Amino acid sequence: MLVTKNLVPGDSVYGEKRISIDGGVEGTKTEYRVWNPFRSKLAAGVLGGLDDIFIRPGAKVLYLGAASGTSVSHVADIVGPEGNVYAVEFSPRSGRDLINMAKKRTNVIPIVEDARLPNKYRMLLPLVDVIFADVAQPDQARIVVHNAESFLKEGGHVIISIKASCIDSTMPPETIFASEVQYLKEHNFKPIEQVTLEPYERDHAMVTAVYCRHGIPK
Amino acid sequence: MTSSLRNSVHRRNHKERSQLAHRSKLGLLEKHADYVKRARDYHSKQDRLTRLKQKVAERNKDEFYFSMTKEKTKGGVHIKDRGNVALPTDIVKVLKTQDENYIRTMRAAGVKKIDKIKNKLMEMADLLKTNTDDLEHHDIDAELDEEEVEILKKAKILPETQSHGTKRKHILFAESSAEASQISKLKKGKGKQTHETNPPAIEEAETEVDLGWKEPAKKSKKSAETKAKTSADMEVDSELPRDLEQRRRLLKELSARLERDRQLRYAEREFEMQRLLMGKGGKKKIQGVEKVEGDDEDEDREETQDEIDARRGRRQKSTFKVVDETTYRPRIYKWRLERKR
Repeated sequence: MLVTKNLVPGDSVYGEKRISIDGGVEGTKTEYRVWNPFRSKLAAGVLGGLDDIFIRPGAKVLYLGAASGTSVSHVADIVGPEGNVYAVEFSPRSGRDLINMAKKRTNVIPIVEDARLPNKYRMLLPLVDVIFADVAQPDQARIVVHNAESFLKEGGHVIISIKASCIDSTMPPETIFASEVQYLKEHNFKPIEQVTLEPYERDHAMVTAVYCRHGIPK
Repeated sequence: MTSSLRNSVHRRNHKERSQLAHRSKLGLLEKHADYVKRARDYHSKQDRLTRLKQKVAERNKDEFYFSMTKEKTKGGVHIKDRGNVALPTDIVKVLKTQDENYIRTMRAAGVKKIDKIKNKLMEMADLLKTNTDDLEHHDIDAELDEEEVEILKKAKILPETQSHGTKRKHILFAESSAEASQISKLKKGKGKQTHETNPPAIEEAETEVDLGWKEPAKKSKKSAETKAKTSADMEVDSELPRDLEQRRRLLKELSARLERDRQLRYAEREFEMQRLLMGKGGKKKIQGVEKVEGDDEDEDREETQDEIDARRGRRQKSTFKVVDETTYRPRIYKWRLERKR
């Protein structure tokens, strides 16, 4: 079972199960929330064998495609109170749920804006360490690159969840993943690994890469 | 004349004789009274039959009674109406809508329970035993059966159609061949570590020399060690089947609930169809219930005598035919388009 330590003990974001265990100090309890790999692509990637997701306590994460904030809440649990999650979601209805979730978790900053136009929310973000993208758009790679140019630090990491049927439903998924990786390489990203999310999702892959702003070293 | 009491006081009562022990399976021993009763009954029945035969022989073919205009016969036998009147259509509609609402409520309750079970299943980390890293526990049962995978697909937990490359792929990118060999060495090195810890343990066992007398401390320690190991193994072994047991139980319940949901869905559709057919508006039947390219090999096969003998002549318990959506096409009606007034 994959769990994250609950930043707001006693609160369940989307009805998930919580587990309370006796904490280190006598009399305290630490609470963990179960992370469902069938609902969250990031959890599927972690269980699928990604070596490193680069989201760690204290990190600043830009989350593109936050939807209702179910995965974002788990990322917020991981980065802890010192870190920050900047969650971008375009749809107003999901944005409402996102804002309600962010009211409880103060390290989440909800941004209800189109990720294609990073200029519109540039005043809200500092330089971030990691960008996680799950936008399911055909021009997803271009969106990620644009956001990275504006906000990602040098040597920062990018994790993209690629849905093959969304980019081109006629081509075989392997070629689509390869073409996305190629696009990233052309735009100063050095890919690290790629994992297909096989039993949890169909024709999905997760790619991690490093951002080398001044060209990939040969 | 001594009228002794010998004639009036009979000392011994005559007892009635009962059925012989070795003929007890034939029932009570019939006495004359029983015989007379039986004979009278038989003869009364015979007399009734002869009287009926006489009546049949002397029947008038041209007999007529005025009630014959409304009474009914079937195959020459007079059929009397039971007296049940059909319910009027509006009351039937009301009752059927009540049934439909009940079915809908039950189905909604079922859907919630299905969602709860799906959530429980999705939380389990070892739902799909895809990584075979645990070489200690050689569990063949840990893999999901085909039926269980089918259940998960039907519940829409797993995607319906597996993509072509069903095995998960993990690709690591390297800049040059040197880096690639380095990465692969790192991966192998991780595996090597576990192998290296085993030999020292074996060495220790080998250095134990038989001194010829019991060394209680060491031996007990060793036995305690081995006992602890085996008990740990036992615990782990009993733990594993418990998880598998729970997974199997959840999947079984999930499949039963999905089946129930499907039946209720069909019932709902049927009710809706009946309600619309009772409604207003001219309608035209386009298609009745049809089979689509039915697999007629096993449908309504003639039973050989051997099969009947195997069941000892009894009829089989009624097995409900599975109405598969793909093999049966539902009826289609078309209503004339009329403006609502």
